[in-house]
Amino acid sequence: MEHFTTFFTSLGSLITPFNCFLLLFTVVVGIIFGALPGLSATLGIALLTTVTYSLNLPTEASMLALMGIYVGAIYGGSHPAILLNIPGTGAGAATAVEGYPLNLKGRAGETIATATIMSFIGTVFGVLAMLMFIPILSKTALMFQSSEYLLLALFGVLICGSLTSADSPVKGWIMGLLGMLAATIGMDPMHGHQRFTFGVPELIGGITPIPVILGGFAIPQIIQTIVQSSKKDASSKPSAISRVWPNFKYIYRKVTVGIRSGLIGVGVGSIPGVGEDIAAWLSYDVSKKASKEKEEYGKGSLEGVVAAETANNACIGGALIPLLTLGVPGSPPAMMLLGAIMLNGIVPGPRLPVENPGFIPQMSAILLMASFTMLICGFLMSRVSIYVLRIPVTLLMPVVALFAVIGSYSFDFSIFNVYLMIGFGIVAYFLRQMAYPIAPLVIGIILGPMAEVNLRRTLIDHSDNLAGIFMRPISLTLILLIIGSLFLQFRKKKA
Amino acid sequence: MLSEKPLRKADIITGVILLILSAAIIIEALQMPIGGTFAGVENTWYVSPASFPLIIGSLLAVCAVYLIVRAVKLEGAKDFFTYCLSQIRSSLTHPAGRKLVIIIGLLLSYIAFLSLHWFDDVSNTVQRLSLHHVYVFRYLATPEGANYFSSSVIFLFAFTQYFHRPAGGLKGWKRHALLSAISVLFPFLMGFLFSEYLKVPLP
Repeated sequence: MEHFTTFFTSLGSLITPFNCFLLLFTVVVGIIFGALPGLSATLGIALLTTVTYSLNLPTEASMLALMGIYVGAIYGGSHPAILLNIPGTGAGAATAVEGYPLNLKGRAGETIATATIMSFIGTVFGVLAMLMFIPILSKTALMFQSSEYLLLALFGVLICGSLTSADSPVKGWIMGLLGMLAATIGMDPMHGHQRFTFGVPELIGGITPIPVILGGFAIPQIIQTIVQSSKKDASSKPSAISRVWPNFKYIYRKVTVGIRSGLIGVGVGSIPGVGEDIAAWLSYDVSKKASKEKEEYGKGSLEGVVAAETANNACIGGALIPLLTLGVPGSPPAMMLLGAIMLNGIVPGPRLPVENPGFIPQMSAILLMASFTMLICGFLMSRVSIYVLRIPVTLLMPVVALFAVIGSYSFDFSIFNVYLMIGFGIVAYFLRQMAYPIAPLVIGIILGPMAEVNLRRTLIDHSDNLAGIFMRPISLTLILLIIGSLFLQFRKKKA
Repeated sequence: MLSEKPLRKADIITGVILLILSAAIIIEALQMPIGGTFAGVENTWYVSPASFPLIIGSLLAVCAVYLIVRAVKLEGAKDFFTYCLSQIRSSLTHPAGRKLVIIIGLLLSYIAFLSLHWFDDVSNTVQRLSLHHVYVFRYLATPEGANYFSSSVIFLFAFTQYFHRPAGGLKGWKRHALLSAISVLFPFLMGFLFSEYLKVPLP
């Protein structure tokens, strides 16, 4: 109950003219980021973190700005998806399948309005999930010992690898292992021995995730967009939009779809490194299978839009749950958010409620505020947002490259991070071509130190009796989860 | 993403690279202090700095072997080398492949240029090649010359000149003027924002 009271008090204290203006601005920027193919929520947060960090904004203002971008960008992909059949982000791809045919039938206004309302409801669903689960999880997390942390890190890398890989799950695991390997570069966390530094002084401090995220998500996108860009630009005129207003009776009838999609979104969001795009597709698939109007799907089913848009926004709250309670980011944008939170001197994890008691309720309050702002901006921008697609990618992409260079440089003023960003980015492009996912690598870098330190501690603790690990209920659950997910992957392949 | 057949061939290559990498990791990790004493306390292998890299290296090797076996099973390893060579040759002549090479080249030269003045011998090379008669070259090899601003302008200008050719867009000097304006304006605005307002000292 105490959690709820803090939530409402921080909500009250957050509503100031400056904060509202800031949120409005960042949500608009976020919607533009989401609408533009090539720019994503991850990149938006990464680039804005540079600005908020350098501006020395207070923590709550930086968090407001970043959450505004996050919520806006996840939602913003739906506009061009419905109006032009160009999903701005992976999270909007499922929306395009159903939304564009609806637009051709002249129902664009209704579809956009429904997508906006459902994104809002999805985000609020995420807030509710945060309020319900975070207090429980925080209490559980305090009971974690080294073996639980080790298993949690392993489970995170494993599940992220198998869910994000488009080819064999082994490719995802390889990327996770490579990430954990990259995390061992530098000073060994227990003995201070220098590992894999090869005499390069910049490597002693280890590899920080921020340039890796920037390189891994920005550079492949730049290369891919330019290589695929044809001379004919997407200047096709969008059709005129009718009245942007939803059919509330229809939304009311689809309340079960909404709740189911919200649950899927929160669930997928809370899985480490698995983000909004997978949440949208999964929820879309599930409602397609469960629907009474199956034949509508693919030809313009509003229900499909409801499912996808609710889930991808519910994913935000879901992704914040493990981030704040365990320090394990639930989605690619949340990985960047983790970096941004730590830059503000706050360490997400089990000790967070003790060290910064108000922070978690504050984040929930910020997410709620961002969802209301998104609702307003979504309706206001529905007629104008697609005009940003007129910006030619051949001009936009080199500017993104410029931002990525400045962004990776400005955190610790080190040109080495720029080399790391560009070098890894180019490698990441080829890896992506060969169906290796990038998210598990970043998760590996973030969870690698946690896995290593706790592995060594566990082995010290249980050196006389390794079976002791199996006697702890949370450990045992995690071990069963790991074995279960491995088993599932190999059985699925045989089928 | 690649289609099925080249993807399997690529899997063999990455599998072999990963195997070599994991071998290198294991060899490197074995050089780390494994036994002996650490700060007066007896060290055991599982607490040593080597334990984690050893585990990762072995797991990586297992995954790599699986990848190779799977690729060979699915597509076979026949004509492996001739196939790879033909792929490389065709991708270089293909317009998309050429674009790829040019983008990577531009990105690499951008950051190489950005860090020119860190290397003392660059200005010497400029002298030796008698490039210093050309004022631009002499200026660009100094710390004041090869900075964030000049390298970004050159990068943006080259990038947009090569790639920005929209159908029905501006032609001739108007196009050059527009692209030049963009390539000067953006680095200037961003440089101003970051160095003056956000107090980030740019390179």
